[in-house]
Amino acid sequence: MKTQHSAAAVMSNEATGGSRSDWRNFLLLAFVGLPVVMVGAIAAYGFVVWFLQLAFFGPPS
Amino acid sequence: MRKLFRFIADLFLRPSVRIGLGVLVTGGFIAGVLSWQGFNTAMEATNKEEFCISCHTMHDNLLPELQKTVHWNNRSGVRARCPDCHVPHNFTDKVARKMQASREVWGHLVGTIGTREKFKEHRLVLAQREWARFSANGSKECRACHDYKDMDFDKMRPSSQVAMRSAAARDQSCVDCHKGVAHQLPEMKGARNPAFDTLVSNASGQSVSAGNEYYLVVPQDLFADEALTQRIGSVEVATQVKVLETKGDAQRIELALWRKNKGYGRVWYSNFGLNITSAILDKEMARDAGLVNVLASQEDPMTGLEWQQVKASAWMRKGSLIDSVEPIWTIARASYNTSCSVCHRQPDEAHFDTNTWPGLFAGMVGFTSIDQDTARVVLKYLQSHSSDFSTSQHGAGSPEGALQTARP
Ligand code: HEC
Ligand code: HEC
Ligand code: HEC
Ligand code: HEC
Ligand code: HEC
Repeated sequence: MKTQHSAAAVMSNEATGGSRSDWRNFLLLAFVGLPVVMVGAIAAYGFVVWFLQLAFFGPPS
Repeated sequence: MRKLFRFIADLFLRPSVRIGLGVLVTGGFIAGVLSWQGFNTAMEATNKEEFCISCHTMHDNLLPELQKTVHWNNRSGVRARCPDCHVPHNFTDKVARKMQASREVWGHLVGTIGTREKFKEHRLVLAQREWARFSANGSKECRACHDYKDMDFDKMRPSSQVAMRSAAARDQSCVDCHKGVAHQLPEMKGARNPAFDTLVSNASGQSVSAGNEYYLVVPQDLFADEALTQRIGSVEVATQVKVLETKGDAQRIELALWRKNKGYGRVWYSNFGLNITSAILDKEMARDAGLVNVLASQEDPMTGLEWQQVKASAWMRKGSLIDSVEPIWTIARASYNTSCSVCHRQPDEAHFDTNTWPGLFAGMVGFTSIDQDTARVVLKYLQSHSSDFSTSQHGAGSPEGALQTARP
């Protein structure tokens, strides 16, 4: 069971390019992907609040 | 698409084999700190006056206007910048306001306020948005800098003390009274009171029969001919007229009013001796015996002027008459009660007489945000419910009394 799992991991690791691609994925995710998602989420939150204000709540108190 | 999903799932679920956990966590931590800092820096940059001004000055002179006020330059050396007043200070509302600014970016691209002229035209709409915002949050932004609890009312100018004390007692929103603190006020000319829209739509559904009396819900131009080409004057809102006939889009009405026998006698009033403006004729027409029928004359003992009872008929566009004046007064009363009770209790309508109201009203209306059309209706309402028309004893609503009780 255990050997099988690590064998599969090694295989797929090799399939996608090894530790170089791990580093690339990590850096892209941490410094580009997630910050973009954060900004997007905050913007979406802002829009949602604004639309709720337009539709139901009126200007903030 | 499938592949992308696959890639993302792998990215999150498949453990890294070669990079140590500590390195990953540390890297993630650093990335988190940097991006949060970057986000805040960006927020701050878009909250800088220079940023606002990059759009709002060159074209429309908001900055030069601000520079003439106390918030630009004062003995204390504290400056109020655009975002101090205009951008909410807490996170959620601030983010929402920033996203709302997508409308500003769009407006900038399209050029809604690209020139001073366009800006002046559009200004009222923008100002009303800001007024609504300030009145909803009780002028929170102003109160970040100066709030009632920190004010020493005794040190204020005497002219400020009564108003400011009663404002503090009611915890009232600053911008209710202090409109135009930082910029020129928009012209109220284009403003419309939405309450009138209902009235106008009621009027268009009103069935009108010849020979009956009706009231105007909006001012109308008067014409000599059925085709409505020869303008001879205008008739005011809430004026009573008798309908003579309706032809197509036009209606012939009869005006039975009073005028002063002085000058041309262009301005016609609804009652003898009372300056309630009801119609204004063009100069040439006012003395035209073919149009104007003088029924009687009477001298006003107060002024020694001779008043004439006059009658005339004219054409106007149909669709602005209703059979009762009460709905008009209801709107006027509501407007009066909200706009004129901001600084003092609104005086009783019957506390002054008809000919005193116009002067008092003209002195006060500038303090309010009533638009021009509504102001005319409110004045007419006050005049028509003044002591000249009231049967009850007046005095209870005296403004002296109101100001007195406003004092703590
Ligand atoms: C991209 C150019 C641009 C920038 C930068 C900008 N504005 Fe505006 N702003 C506009 C335009 C265009 C409008 C008119 C929007 C409309 O017509 O709806 C506007 C409208 C406004 C209004 C009127 C109220 C409203 O809700 O529409 C206020 C207040 C305002 N801006 C304040 C600011 C402040 C404060 C800043 C700086 C934080 C700022 N603006 C930065 C272009 C800009
Ligand atoms: C950045 C802080 C700040 C903000 C925000 C601010 N003010 Fe002021 N305000 C000042 C300062 C400073 C003065 C001048 C004090 C002095 O006389 O030295 C002042 C003066 C005034 C005055 C007195 C004017 C006079 O003739 O003496 C009024 C009225 C006023 N502010 C109203 C407002 C209103 C209304 C708002 C909200 C729209 C507001 N302020 C927002 C700081 C601020
Ligand atoms: C009921 C209406 C009203 C409200 C609400 C109101 N004010 Fe005033 N305030 C006045 C009037 C009227 C004056 C006198 C203005 C004048 O004489 O030009 C005044 C004067 C002032 C002055 C000048 C004081 C001085 O030294 O003479 C300041 C500052 C001021 N108001 C700030 C505020 C602030 C801040 C708020 C909100 C927290 C506020 N006001 C709310 C009516 C009001
Ligand atoms: C002391 C607070 C204060 C400051 C500082 C201030 N404003 Fe305003 N602003 C207001 C108020 C209050 C209104 C509502 C309209 C009014 O009463 O004049 C307003 C209205 C506006 C409007 C709507 C259009 C209009 O003229 O009524 C715009 C746009 C605007 N401000 C932009 C700016 C910009 C850009 C700056 C910086 C150069 C700025 N404001 C600085 C208080 C302020
Ligand atoms: C910004 C505050 C403010 C607003 C808004 C306001 N008033 Fe006044 N009003 C005052 C003050 C202050 C006085 C006392 C002035 C004086 O004694 O010279 C006053 C006095 C009066 C008086 C008594 C004048 C006299 O000579 O006896 C009348 C009547 C009056 N207001 C009517 C109105 C009407 C009508 C409105 C609505 C269009 C209105 N006010 C709105 C501040 C205001």
